[in-house]
Amino acid sequence: MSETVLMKGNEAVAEAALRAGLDFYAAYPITPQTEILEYLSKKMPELGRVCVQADSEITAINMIMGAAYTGKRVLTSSAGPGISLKQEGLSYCAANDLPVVYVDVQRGGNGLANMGSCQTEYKREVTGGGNGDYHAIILAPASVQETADMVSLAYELAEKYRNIVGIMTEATIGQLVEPVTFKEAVDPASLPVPSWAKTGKMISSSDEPIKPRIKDAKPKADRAKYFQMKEEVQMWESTNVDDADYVVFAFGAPSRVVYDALLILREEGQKIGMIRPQTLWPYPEKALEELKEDVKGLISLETNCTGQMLPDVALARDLHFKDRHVPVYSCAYIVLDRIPTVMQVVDDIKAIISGQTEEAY
Amino acid sequence: MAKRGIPVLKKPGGNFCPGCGHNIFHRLICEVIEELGYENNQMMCFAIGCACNHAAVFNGENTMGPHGRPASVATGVKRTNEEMLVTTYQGDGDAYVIGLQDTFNAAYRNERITQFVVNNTCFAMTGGQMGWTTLPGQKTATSQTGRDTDTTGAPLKFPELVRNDFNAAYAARGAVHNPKEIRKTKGYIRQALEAQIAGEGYSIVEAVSICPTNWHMSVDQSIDFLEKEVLGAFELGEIVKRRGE
Amino acid sequence: MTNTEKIVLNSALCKSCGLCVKHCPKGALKLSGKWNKKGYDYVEIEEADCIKCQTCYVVCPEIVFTFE
Repeated sequence: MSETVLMKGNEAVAEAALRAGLDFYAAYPITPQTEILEYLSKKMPELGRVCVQADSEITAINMIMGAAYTGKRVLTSSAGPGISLKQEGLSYCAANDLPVVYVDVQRGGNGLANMGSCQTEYKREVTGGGNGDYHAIILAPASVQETADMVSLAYELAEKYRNIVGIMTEATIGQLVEPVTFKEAVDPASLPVPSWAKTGKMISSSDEPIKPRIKDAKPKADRAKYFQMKEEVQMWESTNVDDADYVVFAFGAPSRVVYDALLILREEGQKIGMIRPQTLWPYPEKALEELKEDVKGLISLETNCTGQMLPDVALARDLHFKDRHVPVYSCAYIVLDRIPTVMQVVDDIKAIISGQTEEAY
Repeated sequence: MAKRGIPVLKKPGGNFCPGCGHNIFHRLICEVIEELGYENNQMMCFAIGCACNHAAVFNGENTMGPHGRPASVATGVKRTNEEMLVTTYQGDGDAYVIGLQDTFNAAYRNERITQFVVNNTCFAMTGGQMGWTTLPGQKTATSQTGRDTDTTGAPLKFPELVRNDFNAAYAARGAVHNPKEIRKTKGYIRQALEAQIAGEGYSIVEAVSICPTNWHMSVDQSIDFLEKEVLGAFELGEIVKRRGE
Repeated sequence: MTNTEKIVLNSALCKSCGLCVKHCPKGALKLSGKWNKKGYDYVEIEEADCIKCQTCYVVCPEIVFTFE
């Protein structure tokens, strides 16, 4: 069905993964993403593929690891607390260069967290939540269509760099129903078995000596891959940036509110632009090349209490503006069960323009 | 007597303590996999612990860790590679303590995998701490005045639990401290792997083993302790027979 | 049974655990009193007493014994 259909964000994740040749999915129920598990628990057996409802998010990621070792396309998903449980497993997947794709449909806050839509997992996702020196490539969709597109992109990136890829969406987008058009379905049987896949064949013989472990080869390879991804994978979308006095950095659902706020402010003569990161790691530092030379300030806008993206905006600013100081402001909304309203954003940006709000960095 | 070379899946030697049962149990498994003709179509999911030492002397395809998760990793492998012979190789700490959730749920779902678990009544690699198979009153690095089962639980008998609550294909407990038990254990291994190949469901073989280093005994004293004490808590034999047996 | 099989003893691998000495039905195996590269008092065989029953292979954790 390559025509356009109305579909919920979570189900679009599931359908897009199936079309990308998903072999194996394992997950555990958790609001607000259980539709992914429900959708796949019905569809996968119909397609002769395997969906397992695991007994916890921990065992789920370890099942995923098993299938990924043999070169199968895999997926797991959860919300914040479940993604926390998966961190050791994800660290292992990264250590073994497994192209694992996972989806984090965020809900609000620490601990149990509430059912609201938020961005409180930014920090953990972009720094890699498990032990070790790895980074997951993190994609951040802002619509149901983009969610679907990012699923197939996630598999391409995962397999190209042999790196784990996380799609960091949130309750609003997961629950939103919007029109979506899917790519042509890929038959998993048509996908080549990767050269690195474990096929069950013997890997050495009795008379060969025990191979010494090459200790520093892996860290060197990890560092090279880290900088390669940082260079090649930055993705963002700009709106009215080239003449903007102030540029808002916002992603996911809040970025759609900022889009409307820009229009209102433009009508009132305020030249505001937006850079919407589509990759949160690597952070789109290159986007700043689009800014005009005498831009007055950057605003990091996000729905979490502490302004988790703020430092990354400040770092990008330092990287780009070497000769003069461009202030960075923070709009961190403690609205863990709602997204900020358009007028709230308009007022907060005005407060920055008028100097009422102090710079953060 | 026939020729007897090194099993094709095995390298001789390895980093095990003198007399340790690990390398006997694992050799038996390698022998049976080869006899069943699966040496080029198998995946062994190693645990974290003394089991890690096998990776260096095992010629077959394998995965390593995480600690406690082999039953889940093996589930993922088997579910997407049904023709492959998929096993786990773990210690009692890995399978029955940190990995109890994975082990229990793999057996509960009747996953078509075979779990091999060495029971040496302690966490050996980290220096002999108490595990869920430590005997009542047994001294270990973390039960230095003897295990108090009232506050730390009694020895966990997982194959019996599988018999009582699940519909597994096969479960047995062997030992590897003398030729007779070693030969019987090889028989249990064969039954378990044949059950998996025939698609009969989940199977598990536990092997009771001496651990001289962490029991702070000689090999002979360890064998004595095993026969007099350990086998008192852990009965040997087929606990779940294959259907039609 | 033609007694053509030959027992091969790879003493470099022996860790002096004594399991083979304990279980050899003919008492053909003894610790040599000499040390291998790893510093273990490795096993030696009195080949005349050996009946090639392979019990030593069965109990040895290191696969010191093979039969050709």
